[in-house]
Amino acid sequence: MEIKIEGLEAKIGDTPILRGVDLTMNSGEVHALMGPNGSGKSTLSNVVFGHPSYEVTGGRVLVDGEDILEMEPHERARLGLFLAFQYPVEISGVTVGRFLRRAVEIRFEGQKEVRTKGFLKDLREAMDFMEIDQQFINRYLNEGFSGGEKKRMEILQMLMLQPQFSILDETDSGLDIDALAVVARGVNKMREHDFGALIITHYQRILDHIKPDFVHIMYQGRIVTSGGGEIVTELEKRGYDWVRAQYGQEEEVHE
Amino acid sequence: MKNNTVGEVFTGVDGLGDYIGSLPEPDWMRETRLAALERFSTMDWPDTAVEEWRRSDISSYDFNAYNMRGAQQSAAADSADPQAEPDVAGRISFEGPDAVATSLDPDLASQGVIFEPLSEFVLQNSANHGGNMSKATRAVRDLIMDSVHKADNKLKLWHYAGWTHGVVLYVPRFMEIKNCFVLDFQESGDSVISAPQVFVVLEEGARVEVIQRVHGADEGVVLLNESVDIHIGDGAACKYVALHNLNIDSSSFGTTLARISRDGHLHHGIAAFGSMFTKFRVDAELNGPGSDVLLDGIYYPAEDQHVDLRTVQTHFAPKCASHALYRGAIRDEAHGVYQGLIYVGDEGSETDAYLTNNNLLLNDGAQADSIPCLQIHTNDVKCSHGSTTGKLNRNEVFYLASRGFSPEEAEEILLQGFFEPIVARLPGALQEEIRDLIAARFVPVDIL
Repeated sequence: MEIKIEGLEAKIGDTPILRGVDLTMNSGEVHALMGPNGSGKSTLSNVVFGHPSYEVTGGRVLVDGEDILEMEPHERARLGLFLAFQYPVEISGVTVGRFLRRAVEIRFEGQKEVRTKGFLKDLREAMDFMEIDQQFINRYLNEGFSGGEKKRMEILQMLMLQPQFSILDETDSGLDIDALAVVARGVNKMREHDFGALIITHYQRILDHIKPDFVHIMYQGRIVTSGGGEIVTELEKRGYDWVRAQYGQEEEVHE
Repeated sequence: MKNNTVGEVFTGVDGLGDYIGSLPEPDWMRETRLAALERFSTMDWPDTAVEEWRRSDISSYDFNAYNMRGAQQSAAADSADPQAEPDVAGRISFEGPDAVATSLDPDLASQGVIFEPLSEFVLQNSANHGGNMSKATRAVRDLIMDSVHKADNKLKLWHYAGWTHGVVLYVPRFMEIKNCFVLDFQESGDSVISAPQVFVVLEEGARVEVIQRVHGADEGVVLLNESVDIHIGDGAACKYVALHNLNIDSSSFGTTLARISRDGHLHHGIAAFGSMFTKFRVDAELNGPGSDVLLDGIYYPAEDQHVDLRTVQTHFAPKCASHALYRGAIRDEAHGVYQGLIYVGDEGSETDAYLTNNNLLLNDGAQADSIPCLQIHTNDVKCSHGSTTGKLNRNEVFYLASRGFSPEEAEEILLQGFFEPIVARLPGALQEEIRDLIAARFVPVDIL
């Protein structure tokens, strides 16, 4: 799968957030997207998935050559895209088991039969792998979960849905080092197959566990520089002030 | 068994005295009807000046335009085969006021459980009940007189003067019955009053589960005015869940009053789907220390339905707990009203009580009123209420869409999920039925 973002511009209300994002990614590759708070990283993930709060004002998002910006969010998901949310919502009254069974059905509709036994076995295995207690199958999705449990639940969903490309929106934030290792293990397991990811993060530490092939720095709604792992080292040493100094633009003065 | 009433029809209000006179009832029951009639005659119909009726205007009803008749003693009784329903302890089915089928597990009958149509119970013309009849009769009479005495509106007194049919369930001491009792009320006809009366009397330590269904023909106009009286003895436990689904031209009025003794437990549930106009009230009186109560409610009015539900948690004893959870989804031009009161008397120390009401407005034009109220006359209590009214959450729909769910399916899942914490704790026999009713009412609003 090839995802090609070209000159993507988007705003929320009257505030422009994305000011021309260019980024090409393929399954088989892991990209890291870094940048200071407010640079537009989360907006990019929401816009790629079609969150209704954002208005696209320019550019294209091509998935294998097809522009997905006119598609509804669920149609984008059905292409094999996955978004691990920064703040997963709580879905009261819907158990993890029931939700995932239906989501897997939708994902593999017409591809393979989802057998009751097979599904539960897969789910239990994936839960063991993610160190999630089996009792969570019967709990309402994310309701009353701790921050770390919610993040692990996002990765569990990814393992069950087997997307071709995932955007992980600050999945590392708020995790202790053990939970971070579990989350990274889930992502690395996906890499055994034809899988690509965009890992959005503020910090370098998740990238110690998941080695990115490419690293991009976002600032003021644009990708300002791209490269390999050496950029992470650079950021760690010099912080984001270096980005601001080198790539910052004067704010446009509004009348 | 011969028919001993001819099914004479009386007008709802003017014919009330003649109706009572026509019934072949013993004096003790007639006296309760006359006591109710006497209070009924001195009262006006509730109007919108009274807070409890402020949002439910009944001034356009001409109650005298409805007719009623008493239950006919039917040869159909005991027709149902108890073996045919392994999970059912007993079932009584009514068509209008007439019991058309009754069953009771013979083992339970032999152990003194009474479960029979009220008119038969009143006439004491059933089989011998091993000496329990007089005790049960006394309990029923006391419940009626207590309700008549406490009735604060004319509709309730109208019911006790003119009830048309009903059921008595009496369970002796320490009988724990796993299978459920089922009451089916099938209503039909035009301008018909149906005033069923249910008594549940649990002696010390008894446990039962009761499912009540009120449903009706697609056509016709029924005015339901029901009452449920429950006595829960020391350490006894009752689960009582009512599903109301009359047709859209009908009206439903009803009151439930449960009295809970020391260490007793009540789980009451109501699911209101039918009727153009619904006004129900559920009263739980916690009369003994250590008793606890759970009141569940589900409503989902559509079109121009009006549903007004009231719960009252009355703490007359220390160390009691009561929780009410009422959830409503409101569609189209419908109007949902929930009024909840927690009353703690000065004996109610160490009370733990709360009530929660959540409303989902599914479109502009749908209306919800939520009126929680606390009246607390003692210290050392934990009482609270919470109320929310909102729309389906767009971020939740987006989340599900990001997992491949269509917006329509996502909305339906969220709507079912909204009710599910309540549905999941109702009796298993009702859960799928209620989920199906919710699904049948669902219309996507496409909020993404």
